[in-house]
Amino acid sequence: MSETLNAQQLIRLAQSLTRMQSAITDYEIRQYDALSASQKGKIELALTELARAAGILYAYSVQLAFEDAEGQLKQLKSAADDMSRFLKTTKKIQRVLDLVSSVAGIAAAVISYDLNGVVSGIDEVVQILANP
Amino acid sequence: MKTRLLILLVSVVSCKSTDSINRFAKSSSSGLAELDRSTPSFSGLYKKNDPSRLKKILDTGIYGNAMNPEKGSAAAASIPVCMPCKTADSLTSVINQTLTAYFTMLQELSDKKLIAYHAEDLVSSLALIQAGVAPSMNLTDTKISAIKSLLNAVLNEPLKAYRYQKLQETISRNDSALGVVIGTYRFILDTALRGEIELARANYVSFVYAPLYGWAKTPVEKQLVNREFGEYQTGLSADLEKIHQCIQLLNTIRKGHHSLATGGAKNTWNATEAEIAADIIRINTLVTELVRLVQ
Repeated sequence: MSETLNAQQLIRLAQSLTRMQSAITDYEIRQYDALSASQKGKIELALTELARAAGILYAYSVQLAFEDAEGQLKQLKSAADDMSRFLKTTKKIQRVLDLVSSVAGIAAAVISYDLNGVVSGIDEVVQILANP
Repeated sequence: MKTRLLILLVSVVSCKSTDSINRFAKSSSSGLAELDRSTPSFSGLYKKNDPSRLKKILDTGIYGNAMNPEKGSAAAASIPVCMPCKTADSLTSVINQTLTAYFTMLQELSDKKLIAYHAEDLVSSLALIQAGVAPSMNLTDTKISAIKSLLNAVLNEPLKAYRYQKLQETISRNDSALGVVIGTYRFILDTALRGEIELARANYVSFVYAPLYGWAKTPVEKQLVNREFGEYQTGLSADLEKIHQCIQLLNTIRKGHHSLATGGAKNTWNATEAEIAADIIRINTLVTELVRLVQ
């Protein structure tokens, strides 16, 4: 028997509290007219405590389940980061290829004395280099 | 002839398309975003169904003045802040964000537009240079066209093949971790959150239905109380239905990812693509259903 509860055990405990709450409520409904105001007040207090405890236990079970999966979550995050780096590298390769095309375009414009072609080719290169 | 052979060789290296991965990852990301929007929060459920808040319904009900001796006290009582609920919400959000980031990166990396270099400009410029610098090379239009095709293939295909391999490795290596994380997400929604919703029903019975039913003396009054309870339950059923759809969505994402992880390795790619196509349709249908439920 482990010393601490796991997420599943916490859920079962919360479910038991809710079942207890429902059983007390059923009793209250059946005996409503026979119960005094003081007794009803005490029942309501007990039900409130049970309800709040169960609500908190359900929420606590999330923390325990999360802790169990923390290693795998880190692994997925690292995989996403790794893909992001690969994506950046691929985009850089694409930029280099675009740059080669633009430089070749400038060379062609120079050879054919196309001044407009040279200017627009330089603009293209500057634009590629300006976008990191 | 040599050109054709080279193009053929390069094509064979990268015969598998990343299109299925791209479409599946896109559907999964949008599904996860919708899942995040559709599911109720722990804090919200706790606040909405806390005994203090539910008791306020008695103050405003038809019996409020006559039957409720503590009228006003419930309204004055403040709803305690549930810190574990806030933590549960932020942890659930971390899980959703991690999964979304993973599928978003899969989607971006498998996008066919990412590696689509067109050598037309480069070859045209080189052809112009060649005419001025080395006219003896005599590059005809046919030769230029062949060079364009070859250069496109040489520059794009190895990168595409490497990308496919990288994607396949990433999917295979992380399949088991994804299974655990989706299993945790499923536990949170299907067990913990469902528990909170069932607790909400029990709370309504304890703090609203029981006193109202006790105060109701005639069958007509009791029927009215039952009808109000029925209306309350309809709202909770809608939340449970949303959770059911979210679980189906997570199961489909898990199944699709596993198919991609194992199908690619087993060389049964055509069958895997067909499975993935069916999963994408299922995810999109579930997302549409979730949107309808939220509206």
